[in-house]
Amino acid sequence: MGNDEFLRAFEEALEIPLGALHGTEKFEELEGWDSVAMVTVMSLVDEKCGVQLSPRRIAACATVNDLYNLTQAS
Amino acid sequence: MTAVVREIEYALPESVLSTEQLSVEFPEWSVEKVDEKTGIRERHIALPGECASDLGLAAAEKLFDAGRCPRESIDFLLFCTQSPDYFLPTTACLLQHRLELDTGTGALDFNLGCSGYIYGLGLAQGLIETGQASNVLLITAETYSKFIHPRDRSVRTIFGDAAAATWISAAPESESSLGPYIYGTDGRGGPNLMVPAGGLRQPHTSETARESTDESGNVRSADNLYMNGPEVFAFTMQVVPGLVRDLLTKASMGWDDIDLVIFHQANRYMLEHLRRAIRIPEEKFYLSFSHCGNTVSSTLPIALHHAVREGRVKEGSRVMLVGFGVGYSWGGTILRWLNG
Repeated sequence: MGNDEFLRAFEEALEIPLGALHGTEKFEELEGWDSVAMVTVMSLVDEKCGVQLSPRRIAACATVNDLYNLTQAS
Repeated sequence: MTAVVREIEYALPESVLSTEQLSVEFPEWSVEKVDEKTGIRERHIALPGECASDLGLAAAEKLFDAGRCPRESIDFLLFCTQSPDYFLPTTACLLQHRLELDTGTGALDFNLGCSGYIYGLGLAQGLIETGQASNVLLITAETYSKFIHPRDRSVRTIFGDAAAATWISAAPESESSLGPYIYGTDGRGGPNLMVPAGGLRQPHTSETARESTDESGNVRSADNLYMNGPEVFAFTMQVVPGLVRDLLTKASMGWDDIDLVIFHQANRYMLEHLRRAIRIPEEKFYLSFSHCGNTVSSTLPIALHHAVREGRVKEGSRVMLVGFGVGYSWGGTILRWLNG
């Protein structure tokens, strides 16, 4: 899955306006980033990238791009 | 003799907490968002002084009133709860008296949550098929609401109080109607779904009652139920697909052999993710919890009760039952519905 495709899927899952994300955004700055959003991202990464990430590994990502890179490396 | 699940009844407290009420208390969560994530419309909440044993009593009385299970036939009572009346005596002993069961009845409590029904069926089957009992009354009963802080939406939106009573009896069938079983435990996950204080390791004190607010804005103290949602979600993703695969392998079955699949009714989001990940045919995946929420050890019997009532489970149907959660603890079995 390419970076752009990942960003669009991320936006859809977290109900962020399509095309709004560039990947450099910090998780802590995303509106509504909470434990429910974390579960949504875990589910997204599992289904779209076939990677099961622990909450700790996601929490260690500063930006959305960091998360994308983690899914590519896993 | 083999063990057969004959009948299931359940009881809910009268008091209801609707999603509409919750969205008034937590305006940042719309009714639609709660519904989309949890799939829960209403939770029933026990009143002050209304205990898990009271709900269990009501469920068992419903079972006796239904007319097929004679009260005097019960010779073993299994009571599954994490919210007992007292440290001691055993709640099952008090229930033996309140239900006017024969004093020749064996009775014990066991402390499990969302996997409890599977373990209860396994225990009941063991008692019956070794000739130790003929009619087991398995009661699952929980009042998690009493542990939940009113400002903790992470658990308040999900859990509801309930009890279910299941009658399991000895039958002359040559082939067992329950099993095989898969069990599993990983106590490393204990702290992720926990009421930290109130037991003997950490008794209630003014310190344990001190409230704090987490990064999501939820308020709780060590006296309250704590759930680390992302960690519990990760646990189910890691364990449940393997559990289902191992159960099918052990039973030498495929999806064609299974008529209905009932998972612990945790919440819609988790269940849908698991169903897709395991590739369970959608038409075989049964959900019934929007009217009562996640009732912990009672979700499986409540859903099975409704599946039977709706005709989704018929005489001879094979039903996969899977429970997983607090502990961590998990279990699965395959039940053949023989209502005779």
